[in-house]
Amino acid sequence: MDEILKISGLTVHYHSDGQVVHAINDLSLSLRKGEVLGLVGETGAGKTTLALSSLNMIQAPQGRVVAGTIEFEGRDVRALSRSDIQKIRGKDIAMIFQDPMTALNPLISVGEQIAETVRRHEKCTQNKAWARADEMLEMVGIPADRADEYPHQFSGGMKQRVVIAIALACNPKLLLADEPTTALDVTIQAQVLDMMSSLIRKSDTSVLFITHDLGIVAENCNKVATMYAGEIVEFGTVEQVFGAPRHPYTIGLFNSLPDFDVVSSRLKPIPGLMPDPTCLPEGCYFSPRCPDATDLCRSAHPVDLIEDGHLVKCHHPGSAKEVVA
Amino acid sequence: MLKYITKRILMLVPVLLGVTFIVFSLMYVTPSDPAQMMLGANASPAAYTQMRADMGLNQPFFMQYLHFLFGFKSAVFGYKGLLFGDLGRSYVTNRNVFELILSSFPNTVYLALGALLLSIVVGVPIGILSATKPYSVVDMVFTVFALLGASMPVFWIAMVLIYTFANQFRIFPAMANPRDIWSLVLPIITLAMYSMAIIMRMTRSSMLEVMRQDYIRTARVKGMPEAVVIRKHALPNALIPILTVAGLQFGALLGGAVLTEKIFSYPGLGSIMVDAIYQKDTPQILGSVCFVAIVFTLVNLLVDILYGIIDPRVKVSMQKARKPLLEDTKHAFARIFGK
Amino acid sequence: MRSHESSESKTTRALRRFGRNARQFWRRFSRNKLAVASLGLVLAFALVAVLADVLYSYDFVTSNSPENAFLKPGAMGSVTFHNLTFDHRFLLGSDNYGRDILGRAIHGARLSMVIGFVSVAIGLAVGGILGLLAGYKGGWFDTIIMRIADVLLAVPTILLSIAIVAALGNSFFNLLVAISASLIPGYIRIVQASIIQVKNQEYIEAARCIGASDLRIVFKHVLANISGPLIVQSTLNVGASILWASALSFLGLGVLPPTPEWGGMLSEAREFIQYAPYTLFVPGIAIVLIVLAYNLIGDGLRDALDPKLKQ
Repeated sequence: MDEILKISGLTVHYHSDGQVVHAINDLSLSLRKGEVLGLVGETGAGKTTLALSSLNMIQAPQGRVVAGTIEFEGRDVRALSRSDIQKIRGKDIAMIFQDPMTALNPLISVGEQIAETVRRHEKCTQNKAWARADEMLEMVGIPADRADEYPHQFSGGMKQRVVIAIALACNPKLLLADEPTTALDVTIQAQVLDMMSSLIRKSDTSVLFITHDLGIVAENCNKVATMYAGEIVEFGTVEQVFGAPRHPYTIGLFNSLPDFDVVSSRLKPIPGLMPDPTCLPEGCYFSPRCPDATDLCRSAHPVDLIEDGHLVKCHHPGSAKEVVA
Repeated sequence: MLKYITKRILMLVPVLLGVTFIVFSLMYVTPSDPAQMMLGANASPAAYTQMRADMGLNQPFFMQYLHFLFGFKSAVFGYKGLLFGDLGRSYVTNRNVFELILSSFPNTVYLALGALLLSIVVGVPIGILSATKPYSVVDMVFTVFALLGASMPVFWIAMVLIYTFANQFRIFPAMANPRDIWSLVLPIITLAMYSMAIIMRMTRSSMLEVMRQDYIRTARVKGMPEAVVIRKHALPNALIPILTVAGLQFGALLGGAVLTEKIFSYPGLGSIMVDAIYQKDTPQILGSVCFVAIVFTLVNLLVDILYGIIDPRVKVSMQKARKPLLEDTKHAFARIFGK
Repeated sequence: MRSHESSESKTTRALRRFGRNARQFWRRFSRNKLAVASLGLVLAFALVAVLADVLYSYDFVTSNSPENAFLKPGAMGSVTFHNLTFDHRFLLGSDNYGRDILGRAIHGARLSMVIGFVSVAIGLAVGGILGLLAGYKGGWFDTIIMRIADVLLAVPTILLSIAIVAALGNSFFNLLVAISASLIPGYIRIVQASIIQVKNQEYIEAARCIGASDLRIVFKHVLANISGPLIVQSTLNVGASILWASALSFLGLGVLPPTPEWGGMLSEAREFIQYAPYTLFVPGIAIVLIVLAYNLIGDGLRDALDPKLKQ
């Protein structure tokens, strides 16, 4: 049972303009070594906050971890000293962000931005670091002779590849990928995802893959978790959750996908909007939008129901209309 | 690179022409009449008309402007024109205004550069410090200090400093000259106050802006220690706009010098100008202003070129622009001159 | 839904929206205690300036009584004025001509306020129109007007004002022209840049798609976009104008003695600093306070109007 990342009861608040934003609410999640976990949710569900918490990078003073623990390889991330956590960042845990256009320092060459990480974490010479940088560039499909060029000389897709090269340069044990392909063209998306998958498989890195695209999850992940209003509402293997989703939100997500085989004129979105994080509803956070909400749902917060490793946070799981496969 | 510089220089020319045009227009509308001054009060109308013709003053406005630039020659009177170094004739000394400018300007530059250096050396570190601890007590104190510095008239600062440190606490002399560095302390501090305040605040806001950027987050996520993040990632990006500010402040410093040199009896262009104002020597005033404007424009050109060297985004766009420019020129020629 | 609410006229709705925005703005602005205090100070100065003639008559502060020269602050002196002799307490002392410094400072306040506001108004009007032409028409208008702005900016501001006043002669009007000329290029740039930015925004295309006319779109959006920076810049410019005006009168350009202008007062005080330091400090501190106040207000406005909330 080697859990590389174990989050228990995490609650994170942001303070903005005198109000409290409940970004993450009593969240528990664990990731095993070698697993690729897809974290699905709409914008504002708290996915990025979750990833940043794992690196203890929640921006104080606005953001605070109010409760819970985050353990990486058994060590409490929040208890680590400044220098210890800096040793982990970039080396054991790496993170890539959504927007490649702004993620790289415009005044430093791409080669140096990779070499910098290598030098710091592997404590090697300048030459070795540069050699590794060249190696990483080739691995992500960029010719090594472009290592001296600057970020603005690359397209969006290539910038994201550089970002991935930086992240994987020190062979991290855990990769936090926050919507890495969302900002790219569809065709480039496919290329970058392919490349990422092969690199991940080769190095046996554990991945937390944050996305809102179910298709990406289906193709690249072996476990999936659905996140809503700062909570995990469903969790299981891809076969379990995609085959038989049990939480109304997950079911709604699947229902909202356009179906090429069925001729219909209207899409079926989930009605309503995500709740205001400064003022979450009583009971189940999804109840205002759930077609099958009962009075119990609106008054009591649901507990986790686990069956065979498939977790649902719902009073009446599986009662929503089945997905037409 | 050469293309970039040439392009920048070409863009300068209309600006410089514009400045000379303004200076000339101001000379043109000045109430005092050069012909009158030449002849004295008791001249006959005929002599007056003749003098005006001899001085070229009866010619249309635009012709006079061209003379102003290129020179004028008549039987009695002549001058070489601005492009040949003749900025006009002083009412007081009746000599080329340029002589006096040239002899006194280096002193002013000396003072202005000293003040600029002080502003940067003090202003930038404080700005960085304020940015790393925003809204803290330290930040508040420096902000108020900077606001004060930007609100005090520079000539008042001069007088207060002289009163305090020269009269009451006899530490520094009240009169300054370029050879005695100790005497330059008060004038340099006086001049630097305003620029220091501006640079301090601009560094602070530039740093804050940069620290908000995604690539800073990337650097932290890579595990770089905060000191490296600030020094290697944030600072270079933050300092680029400060370069422009420093260049502009040099112009403000030259202006400030005008106001303070006389107070310190410092022999620079500022003192010359103040004397000229007192003596109503309009050509001297306008000639000096024109000269300073030209120098200031060249300083800004220098800053632009520096940008081209430092910022890779500019450097590369220069290289990329080279080829199309050549092609476009070729096509243009082909269209004009033949099939 | 909207058509049924026509019981409220457009004006009422607009006013209501304005009131809401104003209240929200005030809430944000008033968080900055320094800015509010500065606003109070400026209003106090303005009040004093308006009441200048009531407090001290203009003739009184511009007529000499040499026998009362260099009285310390708070001292009593015997003054003969309009054939009347009376005892007068010089609250902040008297200058080298025996004139009441406080009285002169108050009249100087009025002069500075007027210079500040009028110069900024002229600069805003001229610069704004030129910027509008440059941004909206584009093409040659843009090129030429921006070049004009560049030329004006090529001369350091004090020197430009000195050149203009020296050439045109000493008068209040020329002083205003000189200071406005320095302010104009700044406004040209702000307005032009704002229009260019708005022109390129995507929501302009969207508005065009629904059929709104070009002029109306640009006007509405530009106005909304621009009013913040313009207000902030204008506030700061009032402070700057007062500084420049005092610099010019210090040099003997613009308004001349005996007109009480703070810069002129400082110039006269120069010879006598050692002897009577209060002649140096009263006008100087007045300038510093007023300009500092305007700078603080401008800063507070900038923070309050900034769409990017910080904390």
